[in-house]
Amino acid sequence: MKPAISTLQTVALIQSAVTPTLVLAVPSVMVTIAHHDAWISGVIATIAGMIMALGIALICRANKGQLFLEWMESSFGRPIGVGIGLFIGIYYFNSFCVIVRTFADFISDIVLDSTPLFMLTAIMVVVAAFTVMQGIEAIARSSFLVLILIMLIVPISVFVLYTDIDFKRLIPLFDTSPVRLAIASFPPIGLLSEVAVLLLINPYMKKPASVVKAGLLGTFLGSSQLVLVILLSLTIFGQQLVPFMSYAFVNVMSIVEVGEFLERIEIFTVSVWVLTMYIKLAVFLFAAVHCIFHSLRLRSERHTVIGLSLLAIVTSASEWPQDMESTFMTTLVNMPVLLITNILLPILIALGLLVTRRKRKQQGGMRKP
Amino acid sequence: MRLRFKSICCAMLLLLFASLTTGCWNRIELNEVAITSATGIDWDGNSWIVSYQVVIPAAISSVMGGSGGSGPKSPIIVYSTKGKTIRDAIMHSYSESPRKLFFAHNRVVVIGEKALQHGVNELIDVYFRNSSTRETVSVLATPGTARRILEQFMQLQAISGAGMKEIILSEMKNTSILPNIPVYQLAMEVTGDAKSAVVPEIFVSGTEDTSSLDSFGSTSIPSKLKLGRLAVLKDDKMIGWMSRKESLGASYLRDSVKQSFVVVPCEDDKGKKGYDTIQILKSSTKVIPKLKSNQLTFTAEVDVTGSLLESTCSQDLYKPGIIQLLEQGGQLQVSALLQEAWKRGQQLNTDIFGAAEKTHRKYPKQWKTWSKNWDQVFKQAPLETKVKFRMARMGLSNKSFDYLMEKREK
Repeated sequence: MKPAISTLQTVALIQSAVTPTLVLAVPSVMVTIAHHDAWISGVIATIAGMIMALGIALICRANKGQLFLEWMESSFGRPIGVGIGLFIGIYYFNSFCVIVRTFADFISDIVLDSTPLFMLTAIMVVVAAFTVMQGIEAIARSSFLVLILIMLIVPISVFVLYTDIDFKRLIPLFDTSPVRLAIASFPPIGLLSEVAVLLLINPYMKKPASVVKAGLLGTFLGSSQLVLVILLSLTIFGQQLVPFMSYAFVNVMSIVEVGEFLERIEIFTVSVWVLTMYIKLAVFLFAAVHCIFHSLRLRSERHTVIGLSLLAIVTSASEWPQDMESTFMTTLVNMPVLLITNILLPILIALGLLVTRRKRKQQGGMRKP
Repeated sequence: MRLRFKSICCAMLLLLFASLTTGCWNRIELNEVAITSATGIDWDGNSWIVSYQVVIPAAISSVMGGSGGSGPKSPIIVYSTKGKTIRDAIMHSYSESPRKLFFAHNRVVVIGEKALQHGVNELIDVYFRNSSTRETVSVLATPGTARRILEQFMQLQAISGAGMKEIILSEMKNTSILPNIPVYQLAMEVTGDAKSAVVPEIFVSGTEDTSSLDSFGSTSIPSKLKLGRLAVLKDDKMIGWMSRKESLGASYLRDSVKQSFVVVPCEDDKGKKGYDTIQILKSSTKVIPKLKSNQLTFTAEVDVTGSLLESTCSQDLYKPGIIQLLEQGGQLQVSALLQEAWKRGQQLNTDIFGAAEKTHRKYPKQWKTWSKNWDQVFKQAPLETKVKFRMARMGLSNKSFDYLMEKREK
C-alpha cells in the first residue's frame, strides 16, 4: 500500500462523508425539537463532533502506517481483529444501503419522480462502485474538487438570500429548555460520529501526523454547513414552517427570485449536494469493501465490490417499502447503531490499545537484543 | 485484433452507462404540456373548483400584432375542474385536456372569497408537498369567483396571469398599499405567533365583460383588472377586508413600505386651502412593545423621508417654516394611517402587524401566558405613534406655481 492522499484531500473526504446526510433531513428534525434555538443545538453538535474527531484522530496516531485491520490483528490478535473488521464492514454496508435509499428518495421527490426506485438505486450503486474501483486516491481527488464547489456555492447562496434573511426570527435566545436543546443535538452528533471513517483512511495519508488537523477541520466544515442550513431556514421561514419541510435546504433555495431572470436556482445547490452524496456513497462502499475484503482474506477486491454492490442494490430498493421508513431510519433508528460503531467501538479500541501497550512494549523489548 | 475488439466493447459499454446514469426515465415534449400562467381556487360549499389559465403559445403572436392566422386568437384558455380536494380537482383535468398541466410557470393563484373563508391550509399543503408547484407564486383574493378573474383580458399584457403578478409587484414597489404575498409568506403568517395573514384583493372594475378579444378594438376597454382592498385572515380563514387606507397603515406597521405618497392639506397666508403631495422615498418602522403597570402597550416609531411632488398652495418653499409645516402635515397623515389600521386590526380581532412576534421576542416569559389569549391581549393594547418625517427634496421648483402667479398679480 502506497500513501496516496494529502491532508487537504482527507479534510474534503471527511467533510463529504458527514455533510450530505447531515444537511438533508436533520435540520427539520432539529427545528421540530428545539424550535428557533435549533442552531444552538447545531453548535453543541459541532463541539461534540470536534471532540469525537479529536478522539478518533488520537487513536489513529497510535497506528504506525498499517492498514486498519492489520493493525487490529497485530494489536489484539486475529480473532478479535477479524471480528472488529466484520462488524465495521457490516455497519458500513448497512449505512451504505440506508444512504443509497435516502438519496434515491430525495432524487425521486425533487427531480426524477417517474424513474423507478430500483433504477435510481442501481445507478447510484453502479457509480459508487465504479469510483471505489478507481481507489481511495480517486475518491479523495474528487472530494477535493467538490469541496471547492461548495466553497463557491455557499457564499453565493447566502448572498442571493440576503434580503429574505431576518435574524430577529432567532430571538429570544435560549427560549427552548436545555433538555430539548440537548435532545435536538443527538441526531447530528450521531451523524457527525461518522468521522470514525478516519480510522480506515488514515493509513492512506501521505502525512499521517496531520490526522488531527484533518479530522477537526473536516468535521468543522461539515457541521458548520449544518448550522448554516438551520440558520438560513430559521431566519427565512421561521420556526413554525421549517418542521413542515422534508428538505429545508431545498426550500430555502427555491424562494430565490431576482427579477424574472434568476429563479429556481435550487437545482444548482441540489447538483452540488448530489456530488457530495456520491462522494459519501463512495467512501462508505470503500469502507465496507475494505473491511470485508481484509477480514475474510478474499482474493479479488474487484469481485468484492461487485458482489457487495449487487447486494446493496437489492437491499436499498426493497428493504423499506415506504420512503418515510428510510427517513426515520437515517434520523432516529440509526442513532444507536451509529453511536455503538463510531463512538463505543473506538473507545473500546482505545482502551484495548492502552491495556495491550505494556504487553507490546515488553514484546518489543524482548525482541530487541 | 482481440484487444481492439475489447476496447470497442468497453467504449460502447461506457457510452451506454453514460446515457443510463442520468436516471431519465420518460420524456415530456413541450407540445404535450399545458403551461399554466394563473390558477383560480373557488369553493362551492362542498367541493373545490380549480380553474386554470393555460397559455396558447401559438396565439400570443397574433394578439401581439404578429402575422399569420385569421385575425387575433385568444392567447389563453380558461377551464375549471371540481374535486373533493384541490389535487383531486387537478386530476380531473386529465379527463378534459389533451395536455398535462404544467405549473412551473404559474405566476399567481387567485382565491375566491368563499374559498378564503373555507381556509387556505389545504392550498399551502399542496404547494409545499409537490415539487411541480412553486412557493413563490403570488396569492390574490377576489370577492367573486376566481374563474372570472382568470377569464379577464388585460391591456398591455397578453397573458393576464403574468400581468397580475406585474401589477402587484408594481403596486408594492411604488405605493406600498398592498403587499405581494407569495405562498410561503402566507404559510409563515398563518403559522406565526398571531396566526393572522393578509392577501391583496384583485377584482374586475367596470361592468361589461372583457373576456373576448373584440373589446381590444377600441382605445379603452369596458372592464379591467384592478387591485383593491386587503383580505384579512385569521387561523387560515378570511374574516374581513381592510380598506386601502387601512392597508397602507398596515404596511407602515409591518415595515413593508418601499415607496409611497401622502397628500397633506395646506393653507396659504390668505387662508386658501390646497394640497401638497409628498412622495415617500424611504420608510422604516419599529413597533416596540412596552409593559406599563402590567398593561401591554405598543409604540410605533416611524422614520420617513419624503420629496415634494406637487403643491397647490401658494408658498415659498425656501422658508424653513414651510418645510416644518410640510413635515408636521406628513407626520399627522402617517400617524392617522397607523392608528386607523391598528384600530381596524383590533376591531377584526386579528394581529396582522407582527405585534405577537415582537412581544414574544421582548417578553418571552410573559409570552407563555399571553400566547394563550393573545387576541384579547392585543385587543386591549393601545398604540402610541412617534413619526419622524423629514423632507429631503422639494423637487426642481423651490416655489409653488400659485405663489409665482400671486406675486405677479401684486
